[in-house]
Amino acid sequence: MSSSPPQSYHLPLDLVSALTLLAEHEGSAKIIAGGQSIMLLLRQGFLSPETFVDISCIPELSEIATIGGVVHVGAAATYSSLESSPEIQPYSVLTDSLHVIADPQIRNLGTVGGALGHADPSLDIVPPLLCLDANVVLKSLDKTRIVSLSNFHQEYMTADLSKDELIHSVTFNNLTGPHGGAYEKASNVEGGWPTVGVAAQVVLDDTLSIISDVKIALAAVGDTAIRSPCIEKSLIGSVISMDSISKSSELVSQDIDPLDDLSGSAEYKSHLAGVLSKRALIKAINRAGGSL
Amino acid sequence: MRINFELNGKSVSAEVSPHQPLRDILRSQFDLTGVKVGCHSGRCGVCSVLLDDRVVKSCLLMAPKANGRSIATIEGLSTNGELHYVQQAFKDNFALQCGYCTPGFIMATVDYLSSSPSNPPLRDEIKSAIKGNVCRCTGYEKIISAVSSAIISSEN
Repeated sequence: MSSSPPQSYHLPLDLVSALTLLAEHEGSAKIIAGGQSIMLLLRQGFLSPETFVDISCIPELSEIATIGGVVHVGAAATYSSLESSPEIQPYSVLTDSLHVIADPQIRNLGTVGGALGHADPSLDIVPPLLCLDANVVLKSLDKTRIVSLSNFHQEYMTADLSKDELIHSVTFNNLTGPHGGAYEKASNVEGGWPTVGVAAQVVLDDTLSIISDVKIALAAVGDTAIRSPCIEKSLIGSVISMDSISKSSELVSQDIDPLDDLSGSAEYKSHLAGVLSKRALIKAINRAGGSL
Repeated sequence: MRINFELNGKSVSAEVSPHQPLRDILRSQFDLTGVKVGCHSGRCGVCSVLLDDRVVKSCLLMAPKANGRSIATIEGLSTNGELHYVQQAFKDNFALQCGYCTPGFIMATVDYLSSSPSNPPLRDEIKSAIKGNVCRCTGYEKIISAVSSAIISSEN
């Protein structure tokens, strides 16, 4: 590392200072939140930025609040702070995921904004946020941009983020009607990356017998985390039944493109995606008050 | 860059660069070798320390992040030569063999105990609390017993 250029590390205390630093160092600054994924990339020599802008000391970016029916989660809010936040408890699709992200140490540093910016398709937090139709709020010195999370991750580890922008927060609407969510994950070690992860969010009609809306999203089955339109289309408007849930869960293989790797073959992951989709749907429907 | 932080209750200062993990600063500049070196990738937990009372893996903690914060290591737990009650619980329950992972487990346990664990202790909850730490000797049973007895003794 002695041959590396000198590096500067900034710990701005407010948003404007952080954005000014990004504008000044356009292209050469790396935004740091928890810094854990970056630490691994630095150690492996994949990155050697000259300037680091650490946003973890900006109070505004760690806030979690519900305002006018919209939940706002600051980019630098840690997984641990979400786990203990009353604002997040109603969203079991999120709390399920938070409990299985790595381990307490990682969750104490890891942040939602860091995960979204890193754009790894295997992150556990992304499918639940896709199910909640989350938006990503991006800020630069001269503008604010709001991008739907489903468009934010463009390809493998690539996010729609300009060099002068930072992720300010992620937002999603309060849910109405009888609703329930769940996240199911298979991993080859406790606390490890998902071999496959599946989030499900359902809304039932007032009789609790018909699925009026359903969203399914998956991690680790392609270049980005993705929704499963095939499952969703086949279940929306249908009467709750184990048979229809089993059949529609098998359709997931049409929406995903997993790779063979050390965690399993593509064929195995496709099968696993169906099994986990079914489990997540059953749990979500039961939590919404439906019976199976 | 120079950072100032509180280390085991004392104000200290260190010269660090951004790519250095805090673990290396603690070991090389402060001789705190209870902060162990293991996997270098946040999996094994032997380098666990407390950052503002919450357990983190110091191999993944960029050293500048300690600026203005408080760091606690295993060396800061005992007072006047008396073991911290979590250390005592590990000793009483024979919850170590080679001992390499023990500081990390104890720091994770100290954080867990500060977050109102269930009492009577719940085995699954304890397992979740220590799942970021790997032990290759004990098979974990005696560690779970130690954490359990620390929870019970913390109430007294």
